[in-house]
Amino acid sequence: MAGEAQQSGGHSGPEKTGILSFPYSRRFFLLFMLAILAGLGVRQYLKPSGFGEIGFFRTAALDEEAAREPTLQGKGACEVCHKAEFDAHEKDVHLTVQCEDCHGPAAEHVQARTDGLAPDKGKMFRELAQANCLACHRRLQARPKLFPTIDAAEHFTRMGVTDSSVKCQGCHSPHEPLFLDRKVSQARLHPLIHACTDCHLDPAIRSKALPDGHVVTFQCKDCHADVLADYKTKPHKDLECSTCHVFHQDSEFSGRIFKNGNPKFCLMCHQQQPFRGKGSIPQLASFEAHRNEMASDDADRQKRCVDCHAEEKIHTMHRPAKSVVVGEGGAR
Amino acid sequence: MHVEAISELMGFVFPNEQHVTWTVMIVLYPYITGLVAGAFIVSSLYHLFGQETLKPVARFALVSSFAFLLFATLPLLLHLGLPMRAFNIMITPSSTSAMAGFGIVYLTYMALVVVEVWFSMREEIVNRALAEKGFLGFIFKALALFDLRVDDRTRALDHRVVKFLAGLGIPIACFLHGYVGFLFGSIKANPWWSTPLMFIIFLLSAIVSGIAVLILLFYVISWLRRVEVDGPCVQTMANYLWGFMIIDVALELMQVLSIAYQQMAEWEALSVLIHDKLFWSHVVLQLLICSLIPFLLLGLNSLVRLGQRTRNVLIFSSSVLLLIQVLAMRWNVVIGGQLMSKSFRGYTSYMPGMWDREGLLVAAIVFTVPFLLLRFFDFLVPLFPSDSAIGKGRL
Repeated sequence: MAGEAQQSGGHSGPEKTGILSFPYSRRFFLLFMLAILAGLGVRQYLKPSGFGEIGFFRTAALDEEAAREPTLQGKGACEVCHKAEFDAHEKDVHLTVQCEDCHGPAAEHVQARTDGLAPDKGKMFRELAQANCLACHRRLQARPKLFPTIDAAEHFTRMGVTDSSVKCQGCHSPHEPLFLDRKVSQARLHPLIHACTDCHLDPAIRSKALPDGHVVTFQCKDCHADVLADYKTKPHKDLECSTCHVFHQDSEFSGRIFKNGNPKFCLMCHQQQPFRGKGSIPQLASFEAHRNEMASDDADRQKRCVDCHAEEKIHTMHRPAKSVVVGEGGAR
Repeated sequence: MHVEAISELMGFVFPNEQHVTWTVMIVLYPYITGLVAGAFIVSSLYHLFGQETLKPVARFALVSSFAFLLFATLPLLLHLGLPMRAFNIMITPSSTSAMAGFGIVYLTYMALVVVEVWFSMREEIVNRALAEKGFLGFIFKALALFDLRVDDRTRALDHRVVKFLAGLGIPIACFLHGYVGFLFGSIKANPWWSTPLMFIIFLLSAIVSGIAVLILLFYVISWLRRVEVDGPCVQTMANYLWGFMIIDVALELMQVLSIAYQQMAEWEALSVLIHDKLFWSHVVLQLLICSLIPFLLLGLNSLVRLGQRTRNVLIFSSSVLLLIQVLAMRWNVVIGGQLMSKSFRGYTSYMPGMWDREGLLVAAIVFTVPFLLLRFFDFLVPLFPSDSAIGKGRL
């Protein structure tokens, strides 16, 4: 094959061939150098101006960032006009969630209202879909056990919901998720309650007895054995204590536990709804109508659900003396 | 689907670890990069160290290296949401970024391979330039830089340049691939990755996969061209393959065994990863099937006098198994490292999709393209020397 190539007469002697002896090698290295120079040129052209002058960034970026108008306003801006919602929100367990977390950045909205523009200008996001709530409340292994999370399908089955497209707001209020009758900060402090699955991977561990020498754990039954014994005889017995006495964790060691008598809290489950099956959960068409119907005097017309139904349906509300026993035979 | 994925979690997994984000493309990237480095080493064994039996495959190895190199970063670019940003690491490189270092090493190596390929193929290009007429002839003349002389002096110069570049290329090739291991080895929060051995393991497995793919291609091309397989050539490659795979597998085992024997804190979590999550892909596929069997087969091939036909079976099947071994190793490193939570108390799962943006189909296409490119290169200029059996046969 090589024989077909053009032979450049008789220079096959011992003459030393340098790297640039031939036109092709000279051209090649010229081309190579040009490619490197072109690469450096392109790099110089593409490098943003001002890059690296005072750090690993463009100098102008400092002014650009400083000149940006803040889009988030903070909840103080909302309080000015939306006092009722703000107060409800500040009282309940969503108090650490900023208004703009759900409603979006408020800069345009505040500006539009300040300038007195038409209501359709600077509108906030209001139509929360299931997915918006589930962004925080979807049950995930990684979420802390004490954070309220649901598996949507399981939750709907349990609540007798037949229309799975229903919005969470059908029962829940994002502004006051628990309808607390007092502020979170006024609710009683309670030590952290341990669950078996905090340490053990297998959920089946919950049904097993503690072995001898097991580390001391802290559970509801340790202090409230008599209330629990009473509760286990009542129709609500299949619910966890924390379903009603929601635990709101404050720190690594403690949180707030709620005793919530607000009828709206009970009605989250017991309000008759178009999306809930008839026979699933006892439901009321109208709480007010029911109360008026059952009342015999004005005092009755002020009663809450628990004032009439606790003894029969939940558990005795007036705890016997020495219900909480700490020490020998009590808390383990 | 989201819910299904969640249900496969085990124990406590941090929220940002449930979803495996580095998937098939990140497995493919070190795999293809490894083929680059391995093929280059084979080429250098001839060009630099004068291993004459490798002459039939030397130039092909170099061009293979080039073909794989062109596509080594493609999986990375496909993985990125904004691929154009990748070039920022070269436009504004940071001196403390290993990835920016990669950009520079990759470019240097690419330049080196292009120059070496050109000098080693020059005579063939000139021959095509003389043989072809019209536009194709012009293209080849342009590729030959309009200087069509070929004589002993030009050959001597070309050979000197190639030899110099082969020598220079070895440390750069080592750097190129070792760097990939270095990136993983530098992630100190992940005990499955964080070991200085990662650099050398990636390098050796790269050489193993590079030699294996060359053997495989050599066999396939010989069969397609209906010529006898060059016995001494594949035997030499098989011997190197055996040697490199022994060191590679020994180091892979050493990495795990040293943690296990020291009973370091992370072993508690790693042992579950190995015995449960990676049992099939690591223990069974990577170690038992794809390491032990080729070790025995190649040992038999190297130590026992056998007929060529038997050797062919042993070498071919070992090469296939070792290619799978290295792919499994990449999988187990890249995916395995993400299956274990940094909490050391939980594990997630991963199953690649077929049609996903980074799924198996895309991976298969990306992996096939360098081979098609090789076929195209062979159409341009013969990749095998004309005086070898494989070079005389045509498709």
